[in-house]
Amino acid sequence: MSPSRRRPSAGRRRSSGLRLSGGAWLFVLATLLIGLVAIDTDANLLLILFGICVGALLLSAAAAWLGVRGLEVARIVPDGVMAGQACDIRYQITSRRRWLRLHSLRLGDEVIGPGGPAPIEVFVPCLPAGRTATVSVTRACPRRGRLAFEAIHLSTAFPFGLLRRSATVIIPQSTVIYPSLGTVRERRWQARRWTEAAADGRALARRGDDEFYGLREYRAGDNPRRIHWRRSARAGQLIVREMAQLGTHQIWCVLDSRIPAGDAELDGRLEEAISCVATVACDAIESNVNVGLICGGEPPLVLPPGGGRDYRLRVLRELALRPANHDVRLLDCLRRIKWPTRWRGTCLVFAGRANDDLADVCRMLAGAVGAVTTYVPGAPAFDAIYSSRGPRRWIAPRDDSMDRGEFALLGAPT
Amino acid sequence: MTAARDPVALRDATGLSRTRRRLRLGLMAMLLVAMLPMIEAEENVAPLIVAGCCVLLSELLRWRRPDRPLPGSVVALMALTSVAFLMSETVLSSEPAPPVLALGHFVVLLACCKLFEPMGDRDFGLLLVIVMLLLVIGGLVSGSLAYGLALGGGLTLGVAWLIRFQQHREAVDAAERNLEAGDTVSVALSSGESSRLRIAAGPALGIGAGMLLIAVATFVVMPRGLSRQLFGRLRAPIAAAVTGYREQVDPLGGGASESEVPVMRIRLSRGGRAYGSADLPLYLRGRTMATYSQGRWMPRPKRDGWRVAPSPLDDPTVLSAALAAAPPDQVVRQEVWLDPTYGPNLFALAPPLAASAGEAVAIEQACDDLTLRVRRYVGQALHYVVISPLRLTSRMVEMIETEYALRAVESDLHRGAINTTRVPAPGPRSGDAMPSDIPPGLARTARELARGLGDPADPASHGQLAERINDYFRSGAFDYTLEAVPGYGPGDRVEQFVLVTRRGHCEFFASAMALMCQAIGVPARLATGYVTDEYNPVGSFYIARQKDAHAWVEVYLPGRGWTIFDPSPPGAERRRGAKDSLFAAVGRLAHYLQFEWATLVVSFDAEYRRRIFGTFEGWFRRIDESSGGLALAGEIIKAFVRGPPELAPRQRVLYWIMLALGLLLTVLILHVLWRLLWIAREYLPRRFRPGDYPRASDARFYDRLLMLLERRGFRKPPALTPAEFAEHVAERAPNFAPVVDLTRWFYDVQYGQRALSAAQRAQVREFLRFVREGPLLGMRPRAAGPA
Repeated sequence: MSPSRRRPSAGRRRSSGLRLSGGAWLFVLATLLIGLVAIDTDANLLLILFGICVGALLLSAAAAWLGVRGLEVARIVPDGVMAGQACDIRYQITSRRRWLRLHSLRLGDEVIGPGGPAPIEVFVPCLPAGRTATVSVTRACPRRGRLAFEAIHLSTAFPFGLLRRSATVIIPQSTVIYPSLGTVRERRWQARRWTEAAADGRALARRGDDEFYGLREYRAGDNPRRIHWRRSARAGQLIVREMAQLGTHQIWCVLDSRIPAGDAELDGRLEEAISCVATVACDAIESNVNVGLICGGEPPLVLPPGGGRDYRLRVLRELALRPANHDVRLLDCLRRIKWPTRWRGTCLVFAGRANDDLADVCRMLAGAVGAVTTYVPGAPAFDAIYSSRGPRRWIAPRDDSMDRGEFALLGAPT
Repeated sequence: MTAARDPVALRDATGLSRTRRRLRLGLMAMLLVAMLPMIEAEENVAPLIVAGCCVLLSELLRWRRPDRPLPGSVVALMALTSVAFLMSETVLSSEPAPPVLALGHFVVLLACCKLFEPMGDRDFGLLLVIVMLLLVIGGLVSGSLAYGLALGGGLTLGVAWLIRFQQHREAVDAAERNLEAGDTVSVALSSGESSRLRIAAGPALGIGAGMLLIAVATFVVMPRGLSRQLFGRLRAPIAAAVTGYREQVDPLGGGASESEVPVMRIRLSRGGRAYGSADLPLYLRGRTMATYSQGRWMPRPKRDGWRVAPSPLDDPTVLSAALAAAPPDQVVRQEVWLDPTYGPNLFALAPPLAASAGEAVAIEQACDDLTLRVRRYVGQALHYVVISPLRLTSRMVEMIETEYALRAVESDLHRGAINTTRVPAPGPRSGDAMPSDIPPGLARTARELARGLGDPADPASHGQLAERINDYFRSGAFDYTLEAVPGYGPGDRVEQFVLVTRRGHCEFFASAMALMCQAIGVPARLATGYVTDEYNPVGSFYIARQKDAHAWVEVYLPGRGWTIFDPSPPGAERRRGAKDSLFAAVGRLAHYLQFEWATLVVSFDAEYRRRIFGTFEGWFRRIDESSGGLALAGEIIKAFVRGPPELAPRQRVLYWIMLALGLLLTVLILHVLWRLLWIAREYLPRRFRPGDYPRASDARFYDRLLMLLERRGFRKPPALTPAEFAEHVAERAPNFAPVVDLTRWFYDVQYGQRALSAAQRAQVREFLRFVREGPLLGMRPRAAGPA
């Protein structure tokens, strides 16, 4: 197991049950009626039909008894996924039976997404004994939040759908849906940085001369010397090395997430603002700028300025899971923060709407932190720095970033 | 959401449209097959033709417009027409159809309407219900092999269809949910084979065989004879011209039926061997009538009551004695399977001396003519055994008549009808019936024929006289016809038949001869029933059909009893004879299968059931009573494998097939019992003991290993882990070193969720055998391991 892989979630078997379908009740009734008529009329042909119906019921019961025994199920989900991207959820169902292939297996997963329950239903026509079926479900995640996986239901109604045998295993897992990342059009905080550097009297280090930061696709204007030819040959497109400089600079991203409850339009604008925060923060971190994050709400979120890949993930995670705030004013949160001198820097304030509170916040931050710029969706300044379209700067999660939860259904292999 | 519910989008998205089309075709085939028993029973192929045309038309229309072959209004109009047809069949018609058949026609028409509509899963379910309903109707009205074929198709193709349908339904359901959620799903197996919907032939065959076994077991075990006729019973109506069922015969000159519908099947045996041939016609008598009055044969006077017929085995009466007096090769055992009929009459060769239909059905016998009937007739199929002598000796005749005369007197005494105990003399008791009104023309003709043949008052000449009259009708002067003959006037029709038309069917011939015999003083009576020479050598049985209904004459001859004379001309004898063509051979085989179906399945009754259980009971009793157990067991097994000795070769093959099925069922039951025991062992609460924890099934070898090691002096202390104990054993006994490997395997299996390979299992078995039997080298046994 790779170090980054989490330990498999400890599943526990919750329940298993046997259920007669509505058609089964009718079938039982019809069988009884046929039997009654057969006995009453002494009609041997009807008795045979009655016997066949009884046989269908008994064999359904036997098949249900075998049911979902001897199965192991594991769920593999990514740690995180970007909103708007497809999330690949995999289920591995292994039959530990020595004989008798399993037919008509139905797998249901209780999934609670940002917009409410969104269960997954998968049908596996057959699973031979001793084999593993890998079911891959690609689910679109349009909105940031958390994708919570609770219990997996395995059931089969083989052969006739009269009796359904089911087993439920609880494997709690979750996946974070990060805010969608767009494109930064203009790095205004970068200009301010140059100004500050000039004012400090030191030359700005040439960008990307110091430390390897990562790989990304080639863009027009990139230094051809940075092209990573081996990776380019593998990927089929030009990939360049991205370097980071050692010089430090910090900005603050402040998000006012307060909107009135039930306002769908404002809710959409807030989501856009959050995407913008995420985009700007990621871009700044990639540019070796330390980013601090403040979000209003209860409890308020204050992430001191930081940088690096892990910090970027943390920022994205906090932004993904931050709910809309309907009550607490951002100004009240900011007043509770003590601002050390080392935290001074450029301050970017994002909000779903512009109002007097926001002006108060800006005034307060200008005094405590430094220069303040406000970005509200729909405003020219917002559109100047951010575009929701553009290349998604996200590398698909590798296998070792997947969370694997597994559980073996009890019972001897058959 | 709307897009997801759109059937076209769903089909495209799931790729299940081809499956759906196959399912629809399969369902339509099942519908047509399920109709067959009903069609066969009512002898009307119109519903089948209508349904077949609808299937073809709907497929043609679906070719152009797959989603909706016909507008909804047209389908609604068709449904309304179906209702109108039902009303006209049941209420408005002058001859209303039986309710069961009308219901069958109605559901067939409804199914036809459904074929022209878009068919979803619900519609598939509805058509399935209709198929089941048609099978129920077929079970009520049919007795033919077509029902078996329909069920056989249902148990193979039908089960495969049902499995496929269920899988399709679930796949569509899951695909629908995925479409709603916008998920894309793919399933791959580790072996690389596809996991898509396929025809599950293996499971279908297995489940079909299982259902058949359970059906056979249910069929045998279910009690019989509990019928209260709440639901009635319907069979194809038997033509009214069949004379064997009627209380009186009325030769009015109408035509007779030529229906091929079977009425009964008869298997004869003489001296324990099958008996019969196409050259040996059977006269199966149902009724006799001795009094002709006002142009018709009258039923028997009521004072001639019915007595319980003696059973073939245990009736200690004179009849049994008479039977015993007959030479064994002159006694015929008749096993008759009679389809449901109109009346209580039973048919047998005359004279029946013993009859039995099991404990559930009581058979009565008339005192005068020894005809048989069931005491309580409820319209069911009957299976009975009759024993008759081929030829009567004068001693037997005397004994029979004395016995029945005594019985009649006992009955009359019991009723208080007479107050004397006079024992009547033996003689033709039917001649004691009311005298017939013999038309003068017939009497005159009879006297002319008898002239010069001796004195009619002398019983010794009765044989000659009867022969003379019989030859008179068979001389070619008379024509046999089943058609209605014109030219009858207002007088007696039998007289006109002899003197004027000279054309008619068997009732005319038999009536004329019987009356002419009576006119000259020869005791004679009319007998009705069936005459068949349709002998099937494949199954050694006769089959009598409705068109074999016949009338003939019985003349009482001294010393020979009531003797059969058949005055119908030779042209009337419908001899089929044995044909050698391939078609005839196939036909005989089909008739044989139908016979086995009718005898083994349709006519399966409480007697059969009792016999089967009695056989097993007898075996167990014999085992209990015998001292030489092994020899007897071998004998029983041999007899069991050979089957009953009187079976023909083909029947024996059938017996072996049934035996194999029975053995399979036994194995299945044993397997289920074993699994139940396993469940009980695993899941029932029990007292916990150290080391008594659930084992993976492959890991159970370790328990046995511990037990064997304990026998060899290595008892595992609870403080040691299995690995420590294995090292201890390997150290103490070098030849037991493999125990370390086995312990490692035990860990893998018990805690690693792995399975032992075949090679590992073989090694485990080998080592366990070695531990059990092998020597202990280089160690000193100790009772306990290290502390």
